Amino acid sequence: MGKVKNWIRAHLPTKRRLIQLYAALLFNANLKGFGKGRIYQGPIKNICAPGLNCYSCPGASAACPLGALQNALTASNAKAATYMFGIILLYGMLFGRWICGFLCPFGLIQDLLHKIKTPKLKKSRVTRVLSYLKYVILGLFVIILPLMFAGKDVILPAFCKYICPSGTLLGGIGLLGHPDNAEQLGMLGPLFTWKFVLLVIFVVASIFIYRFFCRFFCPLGALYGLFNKIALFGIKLEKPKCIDCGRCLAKCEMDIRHVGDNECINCGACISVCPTKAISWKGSQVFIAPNEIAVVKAAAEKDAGEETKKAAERVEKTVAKRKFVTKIVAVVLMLSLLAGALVYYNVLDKGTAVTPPVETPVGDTFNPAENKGKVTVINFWGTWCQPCKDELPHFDELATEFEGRATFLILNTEFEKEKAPDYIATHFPESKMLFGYDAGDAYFQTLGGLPGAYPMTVVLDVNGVIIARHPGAVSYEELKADIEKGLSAGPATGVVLPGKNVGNLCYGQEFALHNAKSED
Amino acid sequence: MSLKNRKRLHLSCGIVLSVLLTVTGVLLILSCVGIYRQGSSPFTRESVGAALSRIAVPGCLTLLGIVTTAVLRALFPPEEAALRADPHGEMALSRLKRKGTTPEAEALAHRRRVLRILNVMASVIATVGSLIYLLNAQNYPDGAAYNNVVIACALWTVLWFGFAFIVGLAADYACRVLIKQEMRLLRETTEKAPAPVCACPLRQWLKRHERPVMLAVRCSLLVGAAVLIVFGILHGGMADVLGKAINICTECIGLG
Repeated sequence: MGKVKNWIRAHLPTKRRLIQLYAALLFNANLKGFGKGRIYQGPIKNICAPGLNCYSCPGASAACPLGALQNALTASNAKAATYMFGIILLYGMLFGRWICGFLCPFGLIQDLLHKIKTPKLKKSRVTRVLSYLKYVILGLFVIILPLMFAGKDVILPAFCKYICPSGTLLGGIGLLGHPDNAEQLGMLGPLFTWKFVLLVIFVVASIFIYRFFCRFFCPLGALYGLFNKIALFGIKLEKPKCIDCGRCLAKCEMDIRHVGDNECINCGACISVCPTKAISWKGSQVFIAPNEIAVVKAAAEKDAGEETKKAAERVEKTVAKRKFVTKIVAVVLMLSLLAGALVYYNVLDKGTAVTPPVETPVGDTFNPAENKGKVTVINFWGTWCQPCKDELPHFDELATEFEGRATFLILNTEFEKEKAPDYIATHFPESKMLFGYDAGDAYFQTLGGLPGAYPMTVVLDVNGVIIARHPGAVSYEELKADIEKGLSAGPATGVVLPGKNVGNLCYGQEFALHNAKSED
Repeated sequence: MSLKNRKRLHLSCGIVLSVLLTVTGVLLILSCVGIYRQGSSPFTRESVGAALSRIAVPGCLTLLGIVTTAVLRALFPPEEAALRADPHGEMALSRLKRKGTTPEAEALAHRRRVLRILNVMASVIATVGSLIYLLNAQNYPDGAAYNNVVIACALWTVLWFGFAFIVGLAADYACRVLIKQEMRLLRETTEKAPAPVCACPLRQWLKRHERPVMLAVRCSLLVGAAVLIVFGILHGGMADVLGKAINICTECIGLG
């Protein structure tokens, strides 16, 4: 029994592990998202979590800074990127790579994987030189490629699309693992295959190599590392006390040259092995006043008297009390924040950030019931979505080809009702397609769309019966085949679609259209 | 159980577990690639389920291996590994230099500095070489498939930085050899002069005024961050972040 107790005591989670678990839960507080297979779409997502946490994860309660940065760089509004630069500068200045060591959910996953007891690959000259790879990835995939493609009016978050394992694991598998989203499996293709292969490599390698992704591939760590020396939180080394024994370097599993450099994730493992106590947390002196420091220093002198030593003991007790009180207050605040977040996301939050318009939409209306005798193609899209933008020219071609026999209704989200008309006026000024917005995104969800997953295309035959639903992009040939099938449909029989029984289209639904040519 | 036998037990368990993990990983990759090659829209519940059932046995064996290894470690705790010496030798050299240095050792230190400069130059050349290609708009032709363009950019970058990586490795190895020579010299020599102090006036000034300079830098960066955030909010940056975050980035999670 004693052995068991000792084992349990030796294997209790450390403070760092508890903070990591806390942060992972806080940044994925939308637990009902896992249950429903839906992402959180509320207003709090305009705040960025400091660590790598894909915002397409069902549990994600905030945005990912890396994804948001890439999208900001490709935004048509160049000034919008300043918000993201400011956020990253703020996080970097406050925390530096302390975020990697304590707050990053993907870092926690790697730490837990590394605990699996296998032979480990230690750091070496090769790993130290390889640690510069993440700066190359930062420059190429996060900055240059999105910017160069933005010049071609293409949105390409290159790191998120081609490399990020957090997106594949938390977003892709997290969403597609839910039975309700089985239909989305049809959207998987070469990109998912590539990303899944990368994910498996990162996961397996993390078991053998400490923080494999963080050390060699993470551009966010590369960014934060630049602020490590000046950040307010983290590890500091007092050079006068340092005797260059090298124990800190030997203990550290990252590729540091010295404690607190840009590779240091501020985990604090080196603090316990320093024989001269030269390593400490930044701000650890905040609990002791300058005059009290003088008392402690005087007591450390060889010829210190009894009075001085007693005064130093009193100071130490006072400092210990202050630390204790601060700890209690901090724990209470953190637990309150977590409890508040869990209650908000899982109980109080009812809907999306988009609210249905109070006023009647201005402009023309389109009633699908009046379109009988023609095939109707309804496409849901958004200007942020590159696959959506890529397929619109094909729809335009088909709309011209099947003019008079098929109606193309292109609906953007209500969130973009101000933004989309400019894009349409620029790219499709003379189009035969009808453009509108889906109030409250209600129609998209009625037709079985996974909230937030664009594009989606639904094809109705001449009787208004749904004959095809394509989550994701649809090719020119596939859509043409659907239209021809719809044109040759016999009398209405109603269709049961696999997965979701939507039946006949809801006639009478009105859409607010925005005419690209007219001025509102 | 003796320490030697415990070490052997943990090593063998570790090797078996490593093999199981690697095999499971490879099978996962092969299953995914196998499904993908089945044709158009190959991923369905049935195909994914069939693939998972095929790797169920090795997966379960791996899980069993993980649990078994953890239990064995709890029952027969291994000897705590001693801290390895600093693999790069720089701290040990620094420790020796505190007692003084010699002209020969300084000459070796100078050669190390030259190697580091060469290393930095190789990185700069690689960066410039990559940027010449990456910033050329002609390499992003209209209508070209994004994947092909990205692959071309990545390959070009890998070529240049591969060269820098090799130079970096070689320089690091050469530095290690020089460090060893320097340490041997310092240990052998009994008459040493104090290590030369850096004569650069800027460095000396920064050393004397480290705290106020750090405070000034931190304050200005924090103020700068606040200004950028407010400016960004006023110009729609926050709305842009929200607009993207509330929708699923299908490309980011591998859909489409």
